[in-house]
Amino acid sequence: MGNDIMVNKNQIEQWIREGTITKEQADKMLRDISMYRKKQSSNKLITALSTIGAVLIGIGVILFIASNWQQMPNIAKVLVLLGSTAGSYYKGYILKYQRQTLVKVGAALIFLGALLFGATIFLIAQMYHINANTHTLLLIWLIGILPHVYALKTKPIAGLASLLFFIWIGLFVFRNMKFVSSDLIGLPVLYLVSGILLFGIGKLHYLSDNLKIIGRIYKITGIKISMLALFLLTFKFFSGYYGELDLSSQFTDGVIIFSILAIVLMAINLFFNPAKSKTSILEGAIGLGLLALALIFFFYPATTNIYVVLFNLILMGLILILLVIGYNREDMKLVNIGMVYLWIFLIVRYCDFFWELLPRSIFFMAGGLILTLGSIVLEKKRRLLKQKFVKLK
Amino acid sequence: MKKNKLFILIGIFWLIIILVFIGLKEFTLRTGKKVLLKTVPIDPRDLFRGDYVILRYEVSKLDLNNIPADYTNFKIGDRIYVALKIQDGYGTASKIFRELPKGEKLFIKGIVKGIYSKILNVEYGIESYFVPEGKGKEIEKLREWKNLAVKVSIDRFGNAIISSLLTNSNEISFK
Repeated sequence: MGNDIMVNKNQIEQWIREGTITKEQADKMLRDISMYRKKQSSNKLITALSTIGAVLIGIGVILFIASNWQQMPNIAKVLVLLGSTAGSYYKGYILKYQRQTLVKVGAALIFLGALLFGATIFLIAQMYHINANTHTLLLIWLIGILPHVYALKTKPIAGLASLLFFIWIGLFVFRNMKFVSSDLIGLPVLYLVSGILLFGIGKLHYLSDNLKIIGRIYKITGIKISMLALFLLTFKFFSGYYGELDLSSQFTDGVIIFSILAIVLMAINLFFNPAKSKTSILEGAIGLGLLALALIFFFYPATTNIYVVLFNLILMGLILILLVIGYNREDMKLVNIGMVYLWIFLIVRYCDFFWELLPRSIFFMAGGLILTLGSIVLEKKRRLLKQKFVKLK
Repeated sequence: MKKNKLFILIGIFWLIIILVFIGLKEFTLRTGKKVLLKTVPIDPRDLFRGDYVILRYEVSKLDLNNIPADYTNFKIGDRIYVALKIQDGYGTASKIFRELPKGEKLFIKGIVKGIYSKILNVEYGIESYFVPEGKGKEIEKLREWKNLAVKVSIDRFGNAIISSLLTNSNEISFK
């Protein structure tokens, strides 16, 4: 969350009234807090700008080489890519760790190095005309950056690794899909299972104090992907009655393997995690429950729309749980995820229910009104929680 | 271990991955036998890597009624090896193997992607040909041309790599 200011203006004024501190001391404290906030805000801006810059440079290099590919000899292509990867990576290291002068920019350059490493793999694949959208290229990229995640505990690269994991799953399905199969319809189930798997992997990292920082990234990404998959499953298109799904064997194998891994990890976390907090037990129970439901849905498609109702109820329940846990743990990330899905869920279900029932003009007017008022209420509530968390700290 | 050592080790690890990747492909390209395969292009676009054409070969469809196989119960996802013989200058399928064939001098490794009655749809990893941006559509027009072929290098393990695209026995250049 980053904001670790212990006191606020109201408290300082109260201390003056009580005579705990003098006016001069209060002024000094307020000046320091103001300066600290400015510095924090400037740090965030630098991080945001340098990360966006890194991503843009990465995309630029990929596009430049992709469009000028045939004009350059092979050795030049490889050298340009290797040179820019090594240069960015090394400069990032110097700025972040050795000189420590521009830490944020250094971190962005290291991140750019990880992106360029991926670009190098993809563009070498192009050089040798390796089949487009080959999922193994993403796996090679992932394997390459994982040592960085663990050796240097780099959060953005851990985020990139999580993202690559899910894109790899998507590409794997896309590459192996038969044209007549239902793999696309089954995709949310695979993503739900793999989201829980990543969450379980993240929780496992909490067994070591050193790896908690990485575990947190995996857990949050796992929650985001699971929520997205559950949200998709609330639609009739994905969870409505389809009779027997015609799935490719690789897809079914993928769901089974990921489910077994996720069940094992969730069970390990549930029974062997020394911190048997209520939240931890709840997380384990929800994870296992969702896996059981996903597998029942996958192997026993219903003859009615029961799953549509069930997934809607579960998504609502999970949004509530995210908000409660986020509130209790003062975790703004969980609150934000909960709020975003609450809002999306309400809009989508409003459209589902009232599109046919209301005249169009009333549908749009009422929708606009609900949207405006709802966003004001939710944003106010979110800010209130954020302020409260900061004060409590 | 100190951070600078870890950094250098990770850099070396990345370099090894890239060099092994290039090395494996160069091995196939340099040691492989050159074979011409008759082909038909279709144009799409790869998000990551600019323009490319999807290629389909005569050997992409294997009719089990006409081509002998040492195995009959093929499933989607099965790895197979297709022995090739040269007929009129082009490689054609002569036998299908489920395991690495012994005694065959020229064979290509593929994966069964579809089965329709007794016809196998096979992918060999040489179905994309990358071209400069905007040239994909031009190649698509070549479908109307006759004798469009791809020269591939096939190594002794059955791995294949495209080395060039030909029309009427002339290599197509994009420079």
